[in-house]
Amino acid sequence: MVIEKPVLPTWEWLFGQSDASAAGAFFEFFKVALILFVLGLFVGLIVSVFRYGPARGLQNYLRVLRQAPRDLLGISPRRVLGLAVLAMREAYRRRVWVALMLFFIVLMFASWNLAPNSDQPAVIYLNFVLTAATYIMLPVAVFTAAFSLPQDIKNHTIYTVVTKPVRPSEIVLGRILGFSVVGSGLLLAMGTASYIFVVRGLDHTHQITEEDLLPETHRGRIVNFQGETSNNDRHRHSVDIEARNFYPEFEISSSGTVTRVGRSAADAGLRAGDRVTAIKGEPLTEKNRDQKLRGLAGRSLSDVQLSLIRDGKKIDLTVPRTILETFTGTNRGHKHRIVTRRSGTDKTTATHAVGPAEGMFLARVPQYGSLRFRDSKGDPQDPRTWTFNEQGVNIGKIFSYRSYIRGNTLAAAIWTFDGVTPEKYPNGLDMDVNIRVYRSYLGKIDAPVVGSISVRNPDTGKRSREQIFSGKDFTIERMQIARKVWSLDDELIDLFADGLITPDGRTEVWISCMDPGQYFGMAEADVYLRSRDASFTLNFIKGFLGIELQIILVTALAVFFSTFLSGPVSTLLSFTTVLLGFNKDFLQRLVRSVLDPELAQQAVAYKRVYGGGPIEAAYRILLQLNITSELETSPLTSAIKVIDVVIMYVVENVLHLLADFEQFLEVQYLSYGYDIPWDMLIQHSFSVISFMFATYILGYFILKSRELAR
Amino acid sequence: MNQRRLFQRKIVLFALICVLLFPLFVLSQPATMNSAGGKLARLREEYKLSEADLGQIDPTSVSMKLATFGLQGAATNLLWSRAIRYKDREDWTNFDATLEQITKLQPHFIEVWDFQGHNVAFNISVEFDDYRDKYRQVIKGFNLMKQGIRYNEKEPRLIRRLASYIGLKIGRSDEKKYFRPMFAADRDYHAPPRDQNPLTGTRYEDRPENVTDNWLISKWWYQQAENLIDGGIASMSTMNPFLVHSEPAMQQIQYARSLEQDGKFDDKMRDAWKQAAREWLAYGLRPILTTLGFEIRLEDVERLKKERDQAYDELMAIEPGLLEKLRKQRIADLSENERKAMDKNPDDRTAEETKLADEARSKTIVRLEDLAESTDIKQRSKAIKLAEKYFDYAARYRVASQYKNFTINYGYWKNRAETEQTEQLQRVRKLLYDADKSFIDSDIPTAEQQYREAFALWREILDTHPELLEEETFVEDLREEIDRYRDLMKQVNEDRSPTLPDDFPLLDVLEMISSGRPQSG
Repeated sequence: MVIEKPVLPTWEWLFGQSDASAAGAFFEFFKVALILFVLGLFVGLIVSVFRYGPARGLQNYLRVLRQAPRDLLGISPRRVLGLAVLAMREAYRRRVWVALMLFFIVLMFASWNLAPNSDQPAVIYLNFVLTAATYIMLPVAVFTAAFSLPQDIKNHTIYTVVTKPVRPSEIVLGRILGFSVVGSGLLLAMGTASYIFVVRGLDHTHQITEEDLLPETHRGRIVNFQGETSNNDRHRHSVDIEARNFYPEFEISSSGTVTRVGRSAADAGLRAGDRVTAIKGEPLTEKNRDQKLRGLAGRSLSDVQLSLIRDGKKIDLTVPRTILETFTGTNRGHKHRIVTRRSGTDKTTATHAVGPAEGMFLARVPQYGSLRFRDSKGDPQDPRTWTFNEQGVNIGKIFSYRSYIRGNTLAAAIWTFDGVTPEKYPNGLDMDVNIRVYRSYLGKIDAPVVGSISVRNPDTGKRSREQIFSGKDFTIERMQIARKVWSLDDELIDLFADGLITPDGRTEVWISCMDPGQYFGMAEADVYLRSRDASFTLNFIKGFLGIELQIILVTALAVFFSTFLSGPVSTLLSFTTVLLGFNKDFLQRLVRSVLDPELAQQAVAYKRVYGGGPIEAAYRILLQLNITSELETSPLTSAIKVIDVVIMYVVENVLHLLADFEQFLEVQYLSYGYDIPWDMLIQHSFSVISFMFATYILGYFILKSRELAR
Repeated sequence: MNQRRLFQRKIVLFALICVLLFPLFVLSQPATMNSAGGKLARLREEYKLSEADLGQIDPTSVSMKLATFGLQGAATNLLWSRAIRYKDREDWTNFDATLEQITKLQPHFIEVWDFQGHNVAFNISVEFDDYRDKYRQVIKGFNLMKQGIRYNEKEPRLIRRLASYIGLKIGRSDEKKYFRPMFAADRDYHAPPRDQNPLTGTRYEDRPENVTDNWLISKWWYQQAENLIDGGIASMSTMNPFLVHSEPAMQQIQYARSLEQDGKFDDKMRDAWKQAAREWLAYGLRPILTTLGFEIRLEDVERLKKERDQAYDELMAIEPGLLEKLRKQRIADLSENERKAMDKNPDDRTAEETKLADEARSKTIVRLEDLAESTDIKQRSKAIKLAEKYFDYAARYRVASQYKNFTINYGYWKNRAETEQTEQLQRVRKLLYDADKSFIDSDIPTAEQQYREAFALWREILDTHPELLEEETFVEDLREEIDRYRDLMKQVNEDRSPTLPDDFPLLDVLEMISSGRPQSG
């Protein structure tokens, strides 16, 4: 998954980073609030004076200001709740549940044509339900919220409310809350339906028959069976069953007691409750347990000798090896468990039971590090000659998010991780590696480009010997740097005890490419430590919470617009705000490209915007000019540019006030199988709350100024 | 009053609606079993534009088109630029999903299928490093094209594209060594379950499952396109008829060639070449309608030339010496200045004189129709007929030889298909294949011996078929073989130079290559 803006810890996001390079959101909020406050005071005065004349205007103005603190702070939860219930009833009357029906209908027909040949069906399914829910709910939220107040005012039904002892602030808040609750209810139903749809829709299994598998022999003996599963859900999985990996069919506890017995073992006389004391004549002890249990494996239907104690008596038994458990190859982002059984009577046939899909729905919890690159030049032996950069090489891709390192040179990609503790990583560093491979010449087509990975202590410089791996692109490869690794002096050392990780839990992971002339490409988020996975169901809920936050945001905006605009206009304005909010980044780049063209052209290629401001763009369309060609200099084009600068200056300031809908990346995290960080949800909640706060206060003043309510 | 006026207005509007409904009915009444329907329905029928005429109907596609309220063009544009962005960002999952949406929105826009099918099979597949991943993308591209064919069953252009991609991508790419066997063994491609086959319900559903070689499948698809045109279901449109009809036989040749490259020197390969020669000849004998309105056969080129020359000779024989007489007379009719300019040495002429001389020359040219007109009155009608015959054959000959020698290279492939079947050439091919293999296995002495034998045999073949050397393709192939032999010689020669032995039998070929052009016939 491409992560261009890493999620900051909430504390840093709120109060700024320790190096104070950027002010925190908290200060930003206060700055904007202060500006709005001063601006509001001023505009309010002007409006009031214009409407009522200087004397009465000022009097009214001061009255409103006097009442404001009481109205804004002294709201009664009971009245707000009452108004919220009214809003909910209204929404129900307006048949918002039709949206739910629409969503169900869409779901019903979706599975027919949901990218049936995709390599990542889970991504597509999740993306689809989440996008459908968002795209259906946003207009519903806008329509219900934007039309409510204006219609009440038009029909004079608002007087049934304002004649009661209700504050204007409560009207605004009641509506925002009421409509938000309705939206949440709908979303809850959609979420439940989506979950069932996604999980059931992708549920499948395969069959394996004996004909599907071909034996592979070595010196006349079968070593493994290779083949494919049946074709279900438009795909197959590769199968590789090792002939010498069959076990007797029973389960054993850590104390050596037999807990479950399969049929073939039961036929041989084994009972649950027997305690195994020796395998193949060798005693089973606490220390050698794992090793001896591995010794149970062997060719199918061969026998293994067990010594047992049953009811205090010693028994020797011979049990046949009849069962094997393995996995299919990964395809379309998942694999299946295979349990192969060979029956004792018919030696030629085996039955293969294939389990449900595994690994399709994940919520990986990545621990990201920071990435830097070592340059390809320098003396390998002398660290003083090395240079480090933020970026590697660009191999000519427009999308320069990833940069590349050249093989068989000093070039390396280095990730620095914090908080690496033996408690978190007891078996070594579990990592996901998702790199790109670029060949500058074809080389051997059937041989992968090879890379190396090692760990290094950032303080002492002590490092482990390099492990070799095959570069495989466009897949997330699980890798592990074991707890015990080889040092440069060929000693087996412990990651934690022998100083490859600093006492405060920092370490560096170095990746380099070993094939001369070939390249590996990577970005910071491509390699991360992964100690655990979170619950997919919880992540799914978090994903819908992300949508929920967007719905609340839109509702608040639409209610606010409806306090001073008619229904259709506030709907239009809400939609515009959402549309602009979804393209805020592009708009900001567009504004920069007009206001400061030289600086904008220094941006990386895929972030550059061409074609100028709106007038210039229209001019280019009329004359059928290419967006990158230079405009000829004439009084007309100069005038166009000046007008564009003025327009873009206004747009730039408006953009500051827009909610950034692009930041709601929960959907992306969920569909690509990553745990949605709580930090992200909390920060988005803060954003939404501050928008609600602003709309609440502004809405109150506007409603108050309309003298609908006292 | 007000109420009444309102009511009156309603009546008037209702009447207007009824009146307007009538032309609407005439225009857009749908066709039924019993009637041809309104004007639009009949036009659709006439130009074969109705959904059912074009291919299979897909409810999802139709509902998606309806859901865009006629803005499917704009939606497609938006999705197209999104697809480009996903491709730049290497987000293949979303790229696939976007393609699916585009094709659902514009299912009858051939270029969408063609462009994106090619995009996936050729451009996206190479983004992957592992050849197995590449293969999967290639097949995805093919399946996309097949979906396109499902919606546009009667569109030979799309079918021919698929045919060409199957041939080229599997049989000619760098990975062909892996792709060809993978493709042949891909049971999900050749015999997909009915519900997964994009072609279920179309006329292409029953492709023989046992044919699994990419060239033969390519040939089968080319034949389908040819059948559509031959059967009058689709028109030739802007396609070149000579290419359309040559391709099935050409794929058979490619099939035989690839068997050779795979090292399968057995009866199957010999049969493949025999079949190729037969099909190529049948193609040469097939009358093909040219854009000039007459039919020609490529095998007829020599005959056309003969007929043309015969007509010329017969025309000349009617009144021998007439041509010369007419020419002299025309020279005599020239003005003084013109004659002077003509007589002058071309290098000494001034610009004006050159112009004069050119004009004079064109005046003195005697055209055959003038000649015929000037013959004796008794013979004139015969002469005119002969002149017409000459012009007719001359035109046919010109077009036919153009296609034969430049567009199709007919003679070379005919020759090749015939010679490849011979024991001698089969032996050369096998020797070269074995020599390459020995070289790769570092068995230098054996490799050298095999190369020597192979080139000696080549000499014999070239002595019997010198016309082979007239072909650039052939010489290019031969050069590659000689280059490999040079590589081997680097390891044989003591000074590590790629010098060939003095008795190398194909030195003349080498000279020809270094002079930069094949021998002209």
